[in-house]
Amino acid sequence: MPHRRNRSNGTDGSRRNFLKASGAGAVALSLAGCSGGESEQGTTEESGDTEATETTEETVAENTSDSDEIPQGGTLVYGMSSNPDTSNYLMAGSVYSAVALDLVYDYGVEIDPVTYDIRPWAFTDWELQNEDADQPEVVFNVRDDLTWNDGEDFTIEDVIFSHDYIIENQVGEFSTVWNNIESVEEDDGDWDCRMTLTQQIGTWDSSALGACPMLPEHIWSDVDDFENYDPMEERENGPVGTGPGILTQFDPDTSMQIQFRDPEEYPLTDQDWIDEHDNLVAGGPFLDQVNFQVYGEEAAMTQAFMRGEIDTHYGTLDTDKIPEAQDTDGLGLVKGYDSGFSYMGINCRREPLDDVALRQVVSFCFDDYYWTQELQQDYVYEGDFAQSPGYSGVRPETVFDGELLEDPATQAFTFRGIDESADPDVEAMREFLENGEVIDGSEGTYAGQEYPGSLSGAEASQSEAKYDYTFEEAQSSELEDYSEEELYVDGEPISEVMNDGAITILMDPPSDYPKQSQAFERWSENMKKVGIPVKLEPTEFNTMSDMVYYDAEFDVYEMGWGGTGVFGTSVRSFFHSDFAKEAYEEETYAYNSTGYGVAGGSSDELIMDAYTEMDPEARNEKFATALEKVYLDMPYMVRDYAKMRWPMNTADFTGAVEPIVDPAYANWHWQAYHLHQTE
Amino acid sequence: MTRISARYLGKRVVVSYITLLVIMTLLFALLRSMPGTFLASMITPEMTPEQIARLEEVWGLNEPLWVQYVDFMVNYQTGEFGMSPTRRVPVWDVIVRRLPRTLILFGAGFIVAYIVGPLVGMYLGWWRGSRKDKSIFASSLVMYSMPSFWVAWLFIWLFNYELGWLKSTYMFTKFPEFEWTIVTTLTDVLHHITLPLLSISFVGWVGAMLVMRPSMNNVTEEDYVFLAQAKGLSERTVMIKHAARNALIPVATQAIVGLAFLIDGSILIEQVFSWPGIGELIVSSVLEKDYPIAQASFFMLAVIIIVMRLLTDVVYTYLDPRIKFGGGQ
Repeated sequence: MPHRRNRSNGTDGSRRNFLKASGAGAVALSLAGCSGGESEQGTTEESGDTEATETTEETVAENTSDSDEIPQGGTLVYGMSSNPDTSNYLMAGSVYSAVALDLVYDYGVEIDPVTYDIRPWAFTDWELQNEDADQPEVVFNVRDDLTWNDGEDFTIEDVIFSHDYIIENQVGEFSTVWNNIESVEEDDGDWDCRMTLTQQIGTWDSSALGACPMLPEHIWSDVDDFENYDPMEERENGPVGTGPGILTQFDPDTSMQIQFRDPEEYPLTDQDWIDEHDNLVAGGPFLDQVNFQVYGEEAAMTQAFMRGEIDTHYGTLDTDKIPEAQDTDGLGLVKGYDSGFSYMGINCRREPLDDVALRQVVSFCFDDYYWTQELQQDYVYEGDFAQSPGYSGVRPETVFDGELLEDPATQAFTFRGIDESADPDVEAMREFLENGEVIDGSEGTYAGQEYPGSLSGAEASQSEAKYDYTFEEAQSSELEDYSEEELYVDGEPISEVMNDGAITILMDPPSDYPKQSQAFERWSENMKKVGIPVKLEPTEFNTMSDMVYYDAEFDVYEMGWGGTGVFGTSVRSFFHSDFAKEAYEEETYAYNSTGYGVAGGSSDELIMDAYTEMDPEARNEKFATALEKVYLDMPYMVRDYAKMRWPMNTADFTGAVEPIVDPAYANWHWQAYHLHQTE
Repeated sequence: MTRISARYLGKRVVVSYITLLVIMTLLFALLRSMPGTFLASMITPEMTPEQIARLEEVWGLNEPLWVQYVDFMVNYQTGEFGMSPTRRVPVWDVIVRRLPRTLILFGAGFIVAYIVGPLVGMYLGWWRGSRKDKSIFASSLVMYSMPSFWVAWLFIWLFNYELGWLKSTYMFTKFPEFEWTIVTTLTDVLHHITLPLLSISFVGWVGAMLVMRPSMNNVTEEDYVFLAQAKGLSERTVMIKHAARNALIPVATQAIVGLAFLIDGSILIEQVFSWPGIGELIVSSVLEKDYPIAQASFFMLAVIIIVMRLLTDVVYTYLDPRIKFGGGQ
């Protein structure tokens, strides 16, 4: 279960990566280790509570079910557009380090990539005890057949040491460990170890049992200053872990190399539960090594893949290159889901955006079809809930028997066009506001479109508009050429209510993201036609993140990536009032940027109820309900979920698991266990 | 013969030092005025305000700005660049690893540009007004107008994608299948450096030529040139030994400016060619808000340019015997 983060280098991919790093991404990815349950032929298959969408694109070859038939050997070359930071796992904050280091270290448990169940990894079995206590306990047994990659045996003492070391040093990259675990001690009963939690945590099995990387005591006990420790300086083969990989080269400027141990030395991938899945193969890794090459920029890396210099690369293939890759013999695309979503955040603190009704109308105006089909050429799914469809276990339509991404309840805020045209249904939207309507979760027809009612029974924070809306003579110059009428809020023109005379949308510079800017232009025109003055304000990413996360000085902003994790636990960071700026005494980075929970509605109760629910099924239902309420309250307008297309040299390699969430990173370790040479 | 006094040299050193302090102050101010800090990428949702405050303390961000400034000025003058928050290693280590690569590439680019440029400038200046002069001059202006990164992409497309002759990334082959010997190392470096070097030189030589050409043209009217011709010396000897040597003086001054431009260009060229030098480091560190790395990189470039400028003053006196600095002359 990788726990990595990353920073921006200004490119789109990296911008997303930064967000993975900076927000719930850290949590999301810490819990990421799973995929949907679709077979590689592109048909739909249900496994447990997982359901993946049907796809028809050509993909890489099927997995071989018998590991004995799989050829051993080969070097996969993996390209990256940014440098790794360090080979010290406790300090590594970059995903570009993690793609190598995650193959060196193991965790106590693993999330089943097919069913989302928590599976044995370094720990064989476990049990939750005293679950009603303030500090529940988890007892577990440790595998006795693992070895460190320097030949030493892995022991119970190592497990206890690993937890102690991270808790005592409060290692920032692994704050989940010391926030959730009070202590780990040798058990004096039938179990090997006893873990005491700091509090009741619904996802204790993944967020506590699976939070800590296994560190060798014989190495780390001599490390007093973990922040300045350089494993590559200490040993020729760098960091010592129980994982299958050995970091044999680490030149952060240009390259890294992971060599795999003999499969017989690594029993963790040879487990029955892996064999039970049709699309997984036990017994990997089958490669000899992975060479990681760093490129100065994404374009150079993409070209290197297209020319065959590298076999795959971090992230999804540039959408402009997808047709070319599909038409080129020997190049393939591994289907996958993004681990998060792109969205627009609306400042719930600001009048009249603190009204659910107005936020819902703002959402009606965004032309989803124009964005997903015309501009993005169907390489994204239309957005709805703040949860990746890849992590469908807590999506409301999956939990409550709907169809993933297709259920009518996911379409509550689709674009209101006249007869499905690109012309906004101005009258319907004005009427919606004038009548004080809100899509509050109950069945009905809203702004000209039917809504079947919420899947979970969730209700919006308001059942009617907070303000009295009318449309009268336009005062704002922004509306010139668009509308003669302007939205009035309690008798006052909205242009006078808003600080800048209009709703200001912070967006990336059009020169960097021309398609996105076209979509925003259309969105703003549609709002203006309704009578809502809007300004688009191109803002560089660093400036925008400051305005949003530190200062909360914005009306609406757009972000390329946000993620709420496999089990939706990061919903708390994004939408609970405890994580809003108002909750902190000093100015600091506040994850709840929109102030939702503080103003403009709240899901605090639902979120905390879900967060502390110890029963997995009930927990999923509660998170799904919270997600649906957030959807109705609209602090985030989820724009899309990217369809990841991970590039692969299919002439030489096969066996990739798909469709899978973030195949190049969050589930890269699973890919590394499966990829092998073609016959 | 000493043409420069110790007093003058001392003055120039002091001025250079003050220039460096001003640059450092500007660097500090400009980088601090960038929005946000690198902490944003280190903070996780689970962190409490106390934990975030501890992080700020560890990285010295809790100190008042003036304290940070004083620390910065003192530390930098003692060669203490601190730790990189994003790379988790001493900044000095990163700089030391990266700077030689930049110097190799741009040193080579500089040499090529300032051999080709003055030679062509000499030729065109000598034959000013001829058809060759006009056509070469016009072509070179077109070349000069091209952004070096765009030229780089064209070269990559032609020599790497289409012809496959040259490498377009790195300084060495990564994970080579051959043994490293002196011959293979040199061949490999040549294979990698040629494209970025061509891209730099393609535009870089024109600057030198543009200075040399009018300078050469001016000296052709000088008496000593006529005298040399009257003595029956060959045209080649007059052009090279008598005219070009004197015409070179403004080129020497321009070379320093040219070097600064070359280093500016390194940022983009290194990015395009994944050349792991200072330029590429500057781009990534600025975007990652890694102040220590960005500051140190800019600082090192500033030091190089200031030192070069100082050296020019000294070299100048040797290029032109008429020039004497200091000593009341």
